[in-house]
Amino acid sequence: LADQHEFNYCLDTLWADLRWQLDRLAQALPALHRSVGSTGRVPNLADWVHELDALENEFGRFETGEQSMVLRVVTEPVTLEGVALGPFAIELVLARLSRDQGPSCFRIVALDPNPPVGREEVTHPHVSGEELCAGDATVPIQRALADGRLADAFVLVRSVLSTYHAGSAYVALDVWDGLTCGDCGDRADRAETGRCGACECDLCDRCQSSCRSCEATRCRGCLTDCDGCDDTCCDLCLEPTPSGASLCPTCRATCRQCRAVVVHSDLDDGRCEACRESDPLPPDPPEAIHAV
Amino acid sequence: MRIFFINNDGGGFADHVDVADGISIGSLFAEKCPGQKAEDYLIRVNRQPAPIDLELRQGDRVSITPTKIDGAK
Repeated sequence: LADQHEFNYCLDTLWADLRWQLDRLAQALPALHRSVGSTGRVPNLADWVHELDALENEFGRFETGEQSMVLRVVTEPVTLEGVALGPFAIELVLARLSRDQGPSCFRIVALDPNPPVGREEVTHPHVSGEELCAGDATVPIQRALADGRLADAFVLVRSVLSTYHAGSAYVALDVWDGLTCGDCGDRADRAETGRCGACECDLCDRCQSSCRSCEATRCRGCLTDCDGCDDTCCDLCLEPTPSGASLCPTCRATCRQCRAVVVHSDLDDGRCEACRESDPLPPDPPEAIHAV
Repeated sequence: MRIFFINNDGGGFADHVDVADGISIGSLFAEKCPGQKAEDYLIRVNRQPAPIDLELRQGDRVSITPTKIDGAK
């Protein structure tokens, strides 16, 4: 409605409210499902055998490890949006089932990891630290594990690994090969990044600043306000004065008598205030001597 | 007739349901997942892949699982 009437100023707030309400709904769903409960049927030995058969059919083979406390399958190599992420081992850690029957029971191990630079823990847009953030698959995985449908749970995990949801990725795939901005911490496409000439940190296009004096690229941490004009300048262009101020080339001047660096506007006839007070009669400038 | 139907889309439904005698997998899918494409799902009958025109029988176990699911962070 706001969109139709072009109430543009309140649109952001309304969208934010909608997203918040949807998040709350998503958080409430697992509890709602738990209250409804599973089908109530306890899987028997034949069911487990069928589940393992199904697992073998879906993934080609399965393995057990860590004294049969881990059930493991391996996916085909995953490529999303042209980014090769390699195959993943999906491991169901049986000991975790007693704690929480959900996606956290699974360990997702990248077998040929291709993490983004600086984020080694992220091996997939939805995997960090070997934990899958299952998103829309969370509730179905919980239901499948609660019902003893192991093969379904594994297949659901694979479906998440086969999908890229740009809106909620640990690292977006379009900047997977990019760099982390040293100022804001966001990922940025490598082609759109610059580098601070002082500390050499990478900078996204939003955070690239430059010295107002020499125009060299700098991060915010390597720029300081000039005490004369408030322009941001690099350390190379600022010069300290005896009074402790830092001045850019435009604002500073050198007293021709004592050679002190002072604010340009403080000079009178080329001399600073201190020199004028201590010696009211200025000496002739060197040019004047030559002229004589 | 009754079948055991598992829909791993959305909330992860799994229970016995009554369906028309001799209903095909395709018809069941169209009924349970309106507007969706069967090729975007793994459809299993008694844990095995099945053709879309397979006619179901009493007591069959049918599961439908999307091949793409949005994760989060």
